[in-house]
Amino acid sequence: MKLDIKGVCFSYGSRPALKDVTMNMEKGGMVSIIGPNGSGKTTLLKCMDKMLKPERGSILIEDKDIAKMGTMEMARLLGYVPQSAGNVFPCTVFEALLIGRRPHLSWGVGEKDRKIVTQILELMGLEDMAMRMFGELSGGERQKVLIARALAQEPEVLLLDEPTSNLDLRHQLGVLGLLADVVEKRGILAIMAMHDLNLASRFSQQMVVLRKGEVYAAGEPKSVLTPENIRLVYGVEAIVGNNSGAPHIIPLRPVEEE
Amino acid sequence: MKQEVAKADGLYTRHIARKTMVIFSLLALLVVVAIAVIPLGAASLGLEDTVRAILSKFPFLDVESDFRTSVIIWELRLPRIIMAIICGVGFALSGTVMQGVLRNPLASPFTLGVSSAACFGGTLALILGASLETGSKYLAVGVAFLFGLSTLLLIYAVSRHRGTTPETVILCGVCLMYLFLTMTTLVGMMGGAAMSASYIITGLLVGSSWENVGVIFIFLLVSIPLLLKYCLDLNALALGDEVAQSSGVNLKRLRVVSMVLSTLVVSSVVCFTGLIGFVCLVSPYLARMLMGNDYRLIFPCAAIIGALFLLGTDTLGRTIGGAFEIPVGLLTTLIGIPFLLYLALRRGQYEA
Repeated sequence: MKLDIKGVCFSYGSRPALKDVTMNMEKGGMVSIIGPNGSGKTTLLKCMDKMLKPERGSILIEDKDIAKMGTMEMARLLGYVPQSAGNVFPCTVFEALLIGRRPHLSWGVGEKDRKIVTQILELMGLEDMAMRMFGELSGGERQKVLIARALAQEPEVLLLDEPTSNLDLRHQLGVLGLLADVVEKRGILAIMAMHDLNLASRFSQQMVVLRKGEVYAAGEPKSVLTPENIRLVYGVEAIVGNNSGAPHIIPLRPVEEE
Repeated sequence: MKQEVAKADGLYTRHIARKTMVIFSLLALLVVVAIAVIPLGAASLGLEDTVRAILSKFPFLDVESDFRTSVIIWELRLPRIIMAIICGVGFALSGTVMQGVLRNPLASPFTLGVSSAACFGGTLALILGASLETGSKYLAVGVAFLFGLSTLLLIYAVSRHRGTTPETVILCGVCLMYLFLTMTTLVGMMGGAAMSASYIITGLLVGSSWENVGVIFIFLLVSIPLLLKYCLDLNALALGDEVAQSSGVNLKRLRVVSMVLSTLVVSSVVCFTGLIGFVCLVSPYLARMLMGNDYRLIFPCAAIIGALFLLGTDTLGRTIGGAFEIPVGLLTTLIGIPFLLYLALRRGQYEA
């Protein structure tokens, strides 16, 4: 699955959020978008799923402009995982995952859909919660359900907005490891907005650094995660180590403002 | 592990089967109640006379009945019972859709002011266009619909405004409700139709006739299949707009279609019944509690509960006071107010 972003600009009112963002993702794999708060990570993900409409530029999937696609066509290609979701009305976890089957359904929920949902519940270790209410789950459990919902959608591209933000250490590794498996098995593309640089470095083949709405750097984790980049983008002095192939950083202190 | 797989799948299948059973039980209950209330009323009729009168309309059965009983049953009781049922269905469906789209458990055509705006529109058309003759009934529904829809659009704009809570939206709705209620009274007085205006405000099924039943039925017949088409889209709204859109829901179309249809349904109903509140608020809530988040089940369940609610209260209203009839709208309000308070006070249970 090939995804190209060409010169995308977006602003909220008069405040620009994305300035001429261009990037190419050639094939499957995990891509992390990193950058400080307000650098445009979520905005970029939302543009990719057409929740926000870029003012300029275009986004192409397999050379087809998403601006010309219908919602259903989009839903079969892309699945979006928000950081969190509120829930007003009672909804079981099983029903939440069935929402992901929407683009494949017309009216009835078939045996195949139930099977897919059941498999994903098992894959995510959620099978005991199938009949529990989404609203009664903890933040971490909800996040796993949201990811599971997107997997049930069986998209070619997964867009994840900080998929580990509500998870504890063990579940962070568990969920990302599982995503890596799914990505490899199905040959799909997962694009994640990430705050945790070490997790991002460990689980992604490509990293894109956003700074004030612009692409500051892009490439393999080891070419992107350098002390200079971290200082310039995050304003933090850090040591970059290299233990197990992927670089990891140890933040030291904020850089003094000049 | 394999057994676990079968478990979640099986649990869901059983869950659906159980809910379907509940729906059919409620439907059976509705049929029983509808038949049981036929002999009840100001002119009390014997069971045998009632059965005779009903059967006498079927020529091939060759059953005799006296003329008075036959008229009471066929021209008063039956249209009224059917009217209560289809109005209950209309209120309930309309409320279900509005709650779902606005994601607000306190929303309903009544609490958002849509019902009373439609009432005002209907009354206005009635007074300006003289009487509700056959053709002008559709005109009245049309004007009621326009008023109802513009109110709903206003409410929608308010609810999209950043930082509004579900309660703020309802507060605006209640204000609009009183505004249109007052205007209906004023217009009624100026039009010299103070009587009919007061009946519109209290909500009454007295004017039920086969013809009015027919008009409402046509609007339901058009709207219900279209609403059913959007069941899965409404299901997808449970986890928020972003998840819904990512699941392939065309949010803009869903909102427009469901708002237009729910307003159309409730407008066609209130034109003939006046302002009957709370059926549209209570029924969807109970249906959701029983059915979970599947509109394929919520719609039929809410519709049946609405029908039962309105049929029950209307029967109560026309029997407990003897010759003096209590307007059904007063009874639904008496039951609905504690319910609304309960919903408003248990706010901590859900998130916006």
